[in-house]
Order: sequence, then C-alpha cells, then structure tokens
Amino acid sequence: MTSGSFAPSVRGSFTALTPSMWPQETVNKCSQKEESAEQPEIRYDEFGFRIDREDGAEPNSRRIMGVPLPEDPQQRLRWQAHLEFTHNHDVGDLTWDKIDVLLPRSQKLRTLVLAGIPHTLRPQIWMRLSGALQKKRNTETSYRDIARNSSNDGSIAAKQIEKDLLRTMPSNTCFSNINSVGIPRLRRILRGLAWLYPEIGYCQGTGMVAACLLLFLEEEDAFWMMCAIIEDLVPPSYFSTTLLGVQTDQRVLRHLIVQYIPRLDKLLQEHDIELSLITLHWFLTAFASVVHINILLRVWDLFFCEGSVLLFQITLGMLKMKEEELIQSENSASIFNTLSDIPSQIEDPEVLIKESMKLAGSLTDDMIETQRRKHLAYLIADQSQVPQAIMPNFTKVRT
Amino acid sequence: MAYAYLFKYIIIGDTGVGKSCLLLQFTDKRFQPVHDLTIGVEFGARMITIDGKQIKLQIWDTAGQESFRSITRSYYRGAAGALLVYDITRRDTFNHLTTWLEDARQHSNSNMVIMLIGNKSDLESRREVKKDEGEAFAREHGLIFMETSAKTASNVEEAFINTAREIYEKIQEGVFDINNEANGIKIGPQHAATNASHSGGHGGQQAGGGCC
Repeated sequence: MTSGSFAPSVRGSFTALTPSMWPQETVNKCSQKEESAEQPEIRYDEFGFRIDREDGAEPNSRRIMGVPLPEDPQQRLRWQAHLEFTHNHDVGDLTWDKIDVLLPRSQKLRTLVLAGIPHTLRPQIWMRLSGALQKKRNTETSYRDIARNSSNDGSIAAKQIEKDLLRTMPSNTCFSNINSVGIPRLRRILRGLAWLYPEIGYCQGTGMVAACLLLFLEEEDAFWMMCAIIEDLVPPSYFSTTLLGVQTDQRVLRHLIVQYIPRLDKLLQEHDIELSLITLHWFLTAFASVVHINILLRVWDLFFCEGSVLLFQITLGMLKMKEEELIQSENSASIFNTLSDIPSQIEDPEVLIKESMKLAGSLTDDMIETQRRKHLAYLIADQSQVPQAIMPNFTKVRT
Repeated sequence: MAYAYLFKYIIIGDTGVGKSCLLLQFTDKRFQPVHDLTIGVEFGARMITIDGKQIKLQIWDTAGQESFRSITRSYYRGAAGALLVYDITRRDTFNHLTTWLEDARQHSNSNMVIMLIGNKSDLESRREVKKDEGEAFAREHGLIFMETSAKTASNVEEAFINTAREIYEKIQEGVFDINNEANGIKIGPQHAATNASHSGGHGGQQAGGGCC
C-alpha cells in the first residue's frame, strides 16, 4: 500500500519506513530543494530522524550502522529458505498468507533471529513472532471498532495523550508536529489501548514503543503488537498505574547484578546508587528511545521472539560492557552519568548481542519468574499495597 | 572543577509543567520548545557561586505522571532543595500542589528547602493562576516563591540560585548537618582537605559558625 505519489529518493532518507509513513511534505520539500541545487536545510536518516548538524559530516548518519541497509541478501535468503521449508507446503512462490500466524520456536529460528531479521521482512515476522497476528485474527472486537469506541476526546487519558503526542518522538519528522503523518495514528493507538485496558489507562512510555512500531508497521498491526507486549511479552502490571511489574523487574535486575556482575554490585552499594532510577525507563520502553534505532531493531527482533528475559540479558550485557569505565569513575555523580549514558554509547548491535548472550544467555524465563515472585512479595510488603493492585491484565477481547 | 559544596536538588510537579525545560535552561542556557518526555529521572549539574564559594548543584529531574511517584519518592531522600513546579496556564497543576508538598515533606529530610515555581510566565494571555495565589500558597506553607519562564529564561537563574542561597544560609546557621550526606549536601573534595589540615574538628572556614 502506498500513499501519495512520491517515493523517497533523498539520499536514503526515509527508506527504512513503512511506505504509508513516508512524510510526503518533507519528501516534497527535500526534492524541490535538490532540484534547485540547494543544500536541504535539514537532513533525515532512513528512519525519518533529523540528522544533527554536529555529526552532519556524515550525511547519511551511517555512524552507527551495524546492520547494513539495504539488507544482506544472504541473510534474506536464509530466512526465506527457513520460512519455505517450515511453512509452505505447496510448491510455488512463497506468500505470507501461506505462512502460519505463529512461528514455531526452534533452535534454527533462534539462530536466525540472533543474526537479525532482514528489514523488509520485519513487519511480517514481528507480527508472527510476538503473537500479534494471532490476536489480530482472533479478536472479537476489530481495531476499527476499538478506535471508534475510544475516539472520545473528553477522557482523562485522552487529555494526557494529547499533551504527550509531540513529546514522544520530537526528533523524527513523522512525529515532530501536529500535522505529521504519525501523530493521528499514535493518538488512535494510545486511546485504543487506554480503552482496551482500563486498569492501565495511559502510561507515559508506551507512546515511545508505539511510535517506534509505527515507523515500520501499519497502524492496526502496531496496535496488536502493543497488545502482544502488554499481555504476553511482559508480566502483568508493567504499565498499570502501580507499575508493580516493571518495579519488580528492577529488583530482579538488581539481584541478577549481584550474581552476574559482582564488582558492579559492590560499586553501586558503596555509592548508594539506586540503579532503578535509570533502568526503569529501559524496561518500560523495551529500549525504545533509549538506544539508537539501529540497535533497537536488533534488540526487538530478539525481544519479540524471547520475551522479557531479553530485557534482562541486554541490560546486563550493556552494564558489563561498561563495567571497567564505571569502576574507574570517581564519584557517585560520575557513576550515575556513566550509567545514564551507556545505551547511547552502544554502537554495534553485534557486539551488544554477543556480549549479552555470553554473559547471560543461559538465563531462562523460569529463573526470572522465580525471582519475580519473590521480589514482588517484598515490593508489596515495602509499599504496603493491597494485593488487589496486582490483578493480571484482563482484556475485553481476550484472544 | 573543585567546589566547596555540592547540593542535591530535585524538581517535582505535574507532567508537562516544564520541569525538564527549566533544567535545560539552567544547565545549558537554551530552550527546547518540545522536550522529550521524561520517564524515570534525568540528571543535570552546574556550578554557581555564592559568597565567593563555588557550589555545585546536582539536579534530578523527575517524571511527573502519577504512576511514577512511587518510584521517584526514593530520591527525595538525600535532597537539600526541591523545586516544586506548576504551570500558570493550567489550574489543575496548581491544585495538585498540596499532594506534591505532602509527598515531599513526608519523604525528605525536614530541612529541605522548597522553592515553589509558577512556570510559563511568558504565556500571560493564557494565565489561569494569579501570581497572588502562588504567593499566598507559598506563604501558607513556608516556601519561597517565584514565577519563571523556561522559554525566556526569566527568573530561572534566580530560582536555582536563591534556593541554593537559602540552603547555604541554613548551613551557616548550623541547621544542616553537612557531614550527613543524607541531607543532600556534600563538602567539596578540596574543601574537605583544607578542613582536615586545620584538624581539631573546628571545621575550618567551611563551618562559618556551622559547627555550633
């Protein structure tokens, strides 16, 4: 599906976006300027992010390019072969409708995901890895109905969403002003989620995840991806008003640091640093707007396949990579700064994933679950909150 | 850079009142009309001079949405100063001040200096909260008060510096125990060394009467 008549051609700008997100206005403006042999004032990378003047020496922002886009043809072939052999029983061309809504987990699949999903296949594979496609197919209430039911401007959630729309991804041309192509989509998705999950309402941070998904997926698919994240990929109460789920995970993380990076544990204790002040953001947004989008794509490939254990693995991996630097830090302020800056300093997704798996690849869901139960109990005791607050996410359209 | 004292501040208040923009204006002297949403906390620092002494302000900027309060509470602990911010163009952000204040008083040390800030004073035409009302609230609750504009930078320096001055005076009066980091104050490395060389526990120049 394409919208409008211009395909992006501006030196790679916007090429990684789903076609309906191509910002026609900006594309038009840029191509006009090019014709008049004038330097376009603002440059955009393939994801629609503004390229800052400071690092504008590289016009294509290829500074952090672990995955070459356009994608590696070899890797694409491997994926196609896997999909054909596992799913397509007919002889003939591979089409998506012949591929199951869920990809059965196998070592082969995991190896492929670890190496990265070819960018053009991502929308379809993400939908099938996460279970979002199944939700979309099985739902009793269509997205169209959800959007219609939640179109009321007056709710508290709608008002807050309105205030946050432009603050969600201001550096991306698809979300930078009220007329940007992504804004109405983001508004509808966030309102729809608040309607579908009344115990969550609108949680700041979910917008960043939804906006990143919208860069690559059509609106309806992005919505069901959000549902898969909320219902299946992270534990209950991650985004609810208590944030108990994501807070519990911060305690689990702290416990895992004792085990996996004992020197860092000692350092954090000595300087009385509350790590969760930094890492809560990483978990709540599954690294959206925390790491560079090129890193995020690779992390999400794995996240949609493996679920929230991946958030722990990547976090531990990032901390491990900067362990020496942290230990060299002079005082708590510089430790805090170094910790905050870690995600933005990760440049190569290959290194990150390799380090994360080397350190914590053996972590399993069961191990995390055991810790979660324990730490959730402590947390509730600490906050003396009533257990009703941790009811699992129920939905109106349970699939 | 060497400093005589380090003060820890927190910035609190409803979502969208301009907390991050105030911090950015103070640390970087610039205004970002659309600031990214703050999830969890962010962090800034700047050096100021009071009474000829270098003071480092370490400022913690927090998420304003209700759900995040239980998390941000953990760092009220150990703050010497707080900027409690509302938006003069949104009455509800003013109405929530009492809750914010209760939260702050309950979770911080009792000497924490709180500055009430009515932000967005450049938007006079959209004003919903009169300046008098801010002043009255501050008087009633024993806070310092200022209206600021993170956009035009009006009063932004003053807000941060006056808070520091108040903390500094409390140190002079001996109200703050500067040796207890939980109060959000730290003696600078250079300064601490000077004290040590004076020995005898009289606290050298830094005490300035504070040891009594």
